[in-house]
Amino acid sequence: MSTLKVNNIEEATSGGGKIFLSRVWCNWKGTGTLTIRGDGNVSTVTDMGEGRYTVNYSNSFSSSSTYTAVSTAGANITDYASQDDTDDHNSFQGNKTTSNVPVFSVDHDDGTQDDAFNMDLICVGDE
Amino acid sequence: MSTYRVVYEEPDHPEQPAMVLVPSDNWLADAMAGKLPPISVYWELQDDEQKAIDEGRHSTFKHDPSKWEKQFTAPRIGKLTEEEAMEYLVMKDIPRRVWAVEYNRPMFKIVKTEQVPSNRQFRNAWEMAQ
Repeated sequence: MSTLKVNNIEEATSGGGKIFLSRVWCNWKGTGTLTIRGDGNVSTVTDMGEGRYTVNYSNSFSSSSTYTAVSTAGANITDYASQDDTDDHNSFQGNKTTSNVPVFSVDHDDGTQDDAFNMDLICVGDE
Repeated sequence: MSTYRVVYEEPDHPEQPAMVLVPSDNWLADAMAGKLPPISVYWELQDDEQKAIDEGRHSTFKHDPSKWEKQFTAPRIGKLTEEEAMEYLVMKDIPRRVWAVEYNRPMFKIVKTEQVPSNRQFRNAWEMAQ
């Protein structure tokens, strides 16, 4: 496999707008014993307690102004109506740094922190 | 999948459940292939950022480029065993107050993966053994 090394990627047509790639991504299972299913630029995920995780990056971002998105899903959701007490969760992030982000998973029904079967994270930044 | 996990407690909040650090297989592969910089590279970045947090200027914080680039340009430390890689992770991803300060009982422990209980209720009642 070869590695492409460039500083910027721009669209070839339509004005050459700059393209920003994800610098960090991670998918993990939060229920039972935490398992990282796949990742990029992640060194560890820490199980901090029920519905609480911290994702640590392999290499830090250069600044604190990064974009971070988290989402969560259950194991058996096929549509909105199929969500039940064990499957429907909301997720949000805590105070992030350039090297990690705390992530929370909350039961949609009662608002308590709860482990989720499917946790996803993606981070975008200049460097 | 990694053979090890790190279990640790928060010294300031011993009533909280033990935390379990899970390594990325990709990161471990890099560590065992000798692709990591010295741990001091990360400590330097952490120190600078903590200072910015303490001084209330974190929202606009930027790393010193020359320090930040060391993550990629500093001479690599060579191949680590899985056990050495776990010790490196303790010093990189766990707060220093957990592992750099001496307490009257251990605050962290590197354990085999199968030693971590999968049952949350049991784990919440866990306390690190001496």
